[in-house]
Amino acid sequence: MHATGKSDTLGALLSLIGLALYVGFSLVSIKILMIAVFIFIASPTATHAILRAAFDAEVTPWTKDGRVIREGGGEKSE
Amino acid sequence: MISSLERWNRRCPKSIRRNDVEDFFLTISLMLGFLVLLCLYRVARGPGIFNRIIGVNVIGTKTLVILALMGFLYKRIDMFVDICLVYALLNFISTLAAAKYFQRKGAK
Repeated sequence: MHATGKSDTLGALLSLIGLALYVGFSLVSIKILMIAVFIFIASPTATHAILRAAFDAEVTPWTKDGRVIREGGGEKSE
Repeated sequence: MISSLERWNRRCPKSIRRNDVEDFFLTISLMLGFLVLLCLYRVARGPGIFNRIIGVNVIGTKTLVILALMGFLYKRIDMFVDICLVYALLNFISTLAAAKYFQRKGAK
């Protein structure tokens, strides 16, 4: 969840914005910014889809003390 | 005293000669390639199918950034940026399709 949600989105976003600044203002930089905007929208959506599928498949996230986290924030101890 | 970058620029053909920023881009590309290997370990050994989907998604995004950097290294960024756009779309669609396919009870 951290991998696709935060590091993936923000890392790729900042890298692409930096590349767009390096090119200067042209059609290429506009295209790179379009890719950045697309990633900013699509990557959290993909993360949400994966997590929704995982919760529907009854995969529970790993916790340190072994408690089970269900969908919607509810917790149930084993 | 000449740096290794200047020595490289003297030897190599003109089309792949690079300045300081592009040298930095090459370093970043190699680092991202190393991180792709770490994600590949998660794809190969990850417990369950969802860890594998997440690993493939992260590898796809890293490949996109590597492609953009390689466009600068080869000085053909106007061509590579279109490939990046297509790659972003394909990565998103394939992740959605895989997540939708495994969205059922008991798919571990």
